[in-house]
Amino acid sequence: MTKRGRLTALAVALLALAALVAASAQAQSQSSVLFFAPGIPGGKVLSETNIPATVEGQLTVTYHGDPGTGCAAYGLCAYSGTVVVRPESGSFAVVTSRRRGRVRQLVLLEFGPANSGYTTAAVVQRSNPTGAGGTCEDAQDASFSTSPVQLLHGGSATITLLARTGTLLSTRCAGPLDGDLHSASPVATVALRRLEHGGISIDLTGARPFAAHGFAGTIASSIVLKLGKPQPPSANVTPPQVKTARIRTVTERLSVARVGGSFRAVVTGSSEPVVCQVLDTCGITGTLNLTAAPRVLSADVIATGRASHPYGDFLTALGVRPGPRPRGISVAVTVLWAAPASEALAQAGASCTDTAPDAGFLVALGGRRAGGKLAGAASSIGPWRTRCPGPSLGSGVPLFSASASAGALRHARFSITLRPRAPFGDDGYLVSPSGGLSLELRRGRISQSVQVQPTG
Amino acid sequence: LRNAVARRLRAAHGTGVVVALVALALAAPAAADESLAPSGSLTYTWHGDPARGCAAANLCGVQGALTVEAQGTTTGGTSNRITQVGIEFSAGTVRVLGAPGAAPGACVDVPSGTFGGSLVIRHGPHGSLFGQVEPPLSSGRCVGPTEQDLGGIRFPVVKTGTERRSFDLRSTQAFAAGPFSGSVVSTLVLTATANGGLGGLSGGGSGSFFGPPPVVVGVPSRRKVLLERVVLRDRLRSLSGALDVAFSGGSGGFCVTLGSCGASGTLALTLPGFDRTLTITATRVVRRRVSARQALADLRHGRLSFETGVPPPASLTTQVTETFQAPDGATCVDTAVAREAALFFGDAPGARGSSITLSDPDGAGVVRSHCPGPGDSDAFGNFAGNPFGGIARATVAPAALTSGDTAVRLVKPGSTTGLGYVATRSGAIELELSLVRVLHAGTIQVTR
Repeated sequence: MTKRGRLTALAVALLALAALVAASAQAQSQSSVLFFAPGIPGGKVLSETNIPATVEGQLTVTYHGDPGTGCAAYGLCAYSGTVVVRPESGSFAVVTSRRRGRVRQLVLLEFGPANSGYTTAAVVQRSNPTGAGGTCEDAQDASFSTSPVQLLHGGSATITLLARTGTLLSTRCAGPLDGDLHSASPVATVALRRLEHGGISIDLTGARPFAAHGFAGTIASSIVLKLGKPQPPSANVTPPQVKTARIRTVTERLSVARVGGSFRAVVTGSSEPVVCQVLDTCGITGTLNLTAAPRVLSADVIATGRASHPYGDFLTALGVRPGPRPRGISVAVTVLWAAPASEALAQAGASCTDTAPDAGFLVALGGRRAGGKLAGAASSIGPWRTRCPGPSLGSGVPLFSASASAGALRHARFSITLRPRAPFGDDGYLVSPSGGLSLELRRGRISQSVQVQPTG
Repeated sequence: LRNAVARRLRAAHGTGVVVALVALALAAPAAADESLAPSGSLTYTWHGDPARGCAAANLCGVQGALTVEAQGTTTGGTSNRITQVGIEFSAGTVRVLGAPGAAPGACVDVPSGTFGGSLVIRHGPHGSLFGQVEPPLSSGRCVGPTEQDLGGIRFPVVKTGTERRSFDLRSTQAFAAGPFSGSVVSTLVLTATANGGLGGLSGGGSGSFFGPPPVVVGVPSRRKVLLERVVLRDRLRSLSGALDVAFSGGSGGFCVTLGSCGASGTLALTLPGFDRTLTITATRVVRRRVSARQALADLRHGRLSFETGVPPPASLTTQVTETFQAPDGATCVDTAVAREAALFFGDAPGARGSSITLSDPDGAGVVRSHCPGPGDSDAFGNFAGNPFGGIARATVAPAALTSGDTAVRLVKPGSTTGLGYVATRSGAIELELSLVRVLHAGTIQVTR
């Protein structure tokens, strides 16, 4: 997969995740999510249809370290195990969007939250020729794992269970990534028109061998998706007792001029005896590092307030126009980026080294501290897991505090400083971030929209 | 029910975190009184205690642990001198060694699901503060404490500062749970940060939902309508019977991590001493006013729709008796009480008349005891927690609501393949329904 293709897949997955989840949260309108990442079929969402699905069956991946695909280079030869996935529910979203006058369609498969508590269970053995091995058992909920559906010429859609940036197989134990098994994944092709009408079954059953990135094994699937009736987003009608107001949103696109600094986190296994024995983390130590400059997917500074404020006040709030900061207009800065994160772990004299190619950060700043600083956090997003055992760092784990100086927005370029947060637990691991990053952002194009929103 | 609402709000928070990634600009401003940064964790550990009778239940070798981490930022507020602060937790993983029959002895579960839980700080007596986890944590399907055991733990809170308050919840507390003794170590600290932070943006929080608010595409006009309405007060009490579940652990797949492969057992769920009145409202829109007699006749003929409701108090007491037999023949027997189930009253789906549904809105695990075993969704299906599925349901003919004593049977026959368990249901809880009085019958005018 090309770098651009991988970037596109990640961006689609992240942003589509946001769109889908927004829809499911019923806090979403057809037109309020905008796709802004470069290279993806983004733009203004014109329509969205959701087709709920129940998921029957389960996916079982059995694997072992494979010298033929380089397990020695990663340090994965000692591991063998089984991952079982049972998503229970899901939904397809068919999104039609317009960007620069061109209308495009995007279809996504998202798996829903598990009523049973979790979707993915792993049991992984670690052999140790010189001593006692161990068994890692872990369970994770892969809800909201999203698979972009490939649209083919002729109106067909190809549904692949294991997406390149998916997280269905992700646990804290060692094992293959979804992307490793993409080419061997259960797959089905259906006519898009049939998909949109719902009421059909999509057969993703089958068994295939795989060998990639240090692991070889088999994928066995008994999964069948049973689609329900399509559910176009209902008109968002606010109850009469809820007050509404016209809200203006002025967005200025940002580009990244420079990224400096480094990120490093020390990882250690839990000292709790039961946890470290069941998760096989007793005595484990290691590091997580960003190995390359981040690829920025989107960056914006956004001013929001009642539309009765003059447009000029929003420009003042953004720092584009001089003047005192207007009251009643909030300002926020968001930067979404991805960067390869390498992991190196050592346990019982053996080591494991691997890279998560698309680890993501969301930097979000808003409000103002004393002295007028913008403050916020940089949180993990996207797949941070590698094939080695390690912390899951699911989406939304803050890794840095973020700040920008009081007068930052008055300049054509401004910087965001990221400082590491205090050590935190990851349910079996202790993660201690260090280092620091700075982002220099360059101001860009401004656009605005006005929407009626509830204010109660 | 309060917890069920909280869970739904938390779900919205969880999604809101993601929504915020691309839609911060559309976010409603946080209604935060003060911003707080939580850190630390709660670590529960337990073990079979001979002094508490673990030998009789074959549970003396059990050691378990559950850790939940504070995450994100949160907000606190004071209203009517009541401080409310919510700390969002990660979804904690239960890990248990030495469970009966589990080979090599481990059970792993994530009982709180995707969205974890939260800790709420409230005022106690004499100006003290305490924190409680809501909904309570538990050992899930693994052997260990139930929600009822852990829900009663109160974490002492030390408040510092006046204008910018911080809260220190660090403590170690012992607890007892059936045949287990255990402790919970709290390293939780809530540190005040400056106002105007990003609230729940970076992962959880109790202040506000950060997703884009819905865009108003139409405000419905208000108009006056006539409603034919009957309001009844009925009495509902349990007579006898139990919902019986026979379960087995299957082979391969999730039974390995749950330690249930080859296991089998039974559950018997009852409603001991249930007796309460409920107010039942049935309506329909009409063009002309109707008499009380006509309204009651229309009710009996199934022409009115029942409003879905929960007879107060919202939660009721259930009792489960479990027998769990491990593949090696070791048996665990236990009885546990839960106070989280609720009865929903509403229209009967797909039929005339009304329905009474017993459900577990919290997903608390009303079928969980201190032995390992299936959870509610494994025993009763994925809709065990909602009024459209539930643990069991009775259909009531409309005429029965206005008559004397009527027998009602809560049933849910069938089988469910859950996570690590296959369950087959039988039996019924017998209830008696009787009319206390008609509170209203006739026509009212409402604005819609």
